[in-house]
Amino acid sequence: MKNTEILLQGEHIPDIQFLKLGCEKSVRDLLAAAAKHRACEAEGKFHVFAEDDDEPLALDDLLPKSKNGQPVRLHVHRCRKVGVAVTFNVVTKENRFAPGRTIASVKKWAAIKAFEMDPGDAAEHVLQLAGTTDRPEPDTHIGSLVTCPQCQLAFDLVPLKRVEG
Amino acid sequence: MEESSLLPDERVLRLHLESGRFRSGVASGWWRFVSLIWPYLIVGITARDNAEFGFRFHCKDYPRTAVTAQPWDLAADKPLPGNHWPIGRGRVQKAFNPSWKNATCLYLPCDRLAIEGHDNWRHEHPALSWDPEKGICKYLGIIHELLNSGDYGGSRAV
Repeated sequence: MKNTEILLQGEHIPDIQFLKLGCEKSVRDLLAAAAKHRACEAEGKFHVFAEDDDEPLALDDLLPKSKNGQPVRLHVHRCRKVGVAVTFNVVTKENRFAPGRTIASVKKWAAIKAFEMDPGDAAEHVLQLAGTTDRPEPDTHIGSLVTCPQCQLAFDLVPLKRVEG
Repeated sequence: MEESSLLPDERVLRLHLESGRFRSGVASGWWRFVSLIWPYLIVGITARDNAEFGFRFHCKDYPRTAVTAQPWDLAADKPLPGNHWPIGRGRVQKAFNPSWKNATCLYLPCDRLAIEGHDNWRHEHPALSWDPEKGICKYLGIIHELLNSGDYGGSRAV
């Protein structure tokens, strides 16, 4: 039986998990599998999102097929949306995204759309979690950085500095 | 190879190479595994212009001790000549400097050799410092970011 390879992120799930499920398995089956990857117990209704999709998948749907032989990227979270605030040069812009949106996708919105940088300038800036020095990797889903019901994130858009001295 | 016969540093590195984080980079086309002959790991990393740069990482005492990376000629399996290293105007030029330490490592806070004598980098560049939990994927991500930045200007040879 062929398997679907999955790169899974989500609430209480450490980093990115790799798992395989039978290709006839449903979104509901994925929810059961995801529970085993959580670092702690969590109650409530979880949703499954395909990466960068705005709406959750229906529970009885079959898992999405992989494309080009690459793993399917999925996200499991109780929040349907995550509020994001990005501050640059003392100005803050806000938006709401599905939890399966990547840091790369949110940075693109912030740098190019919200703060009107050209692509060259945008490539020289990065999202940093406000009040920290943490800069999540571009393929990190924003939902993996928050826990329901606190579905809010704050970032600073900071320039990348050259290493000297 | 029997996993139980491996030393702890090699065992942890192999686990990290099987991780979702490493696989995510492979699936994105950011990097690919080339070889692991302990203690040397070789990985190819893709730049903005689709050029692939090889890097050989020395991984002894992984992940407690940071690794060190040397640009590597994947076809010839030898150090990449300095005149083929990536170029840029700012950050890239600083990080890929073949005239520093005899072209044996990158000028980055996450590099074992480069951090020697640069304690100031730990508070000046915490986001670029070695993180044993993230391990090799963090170093790969830092190189990939540089090779895909606006500052990257291709290879010195072009």
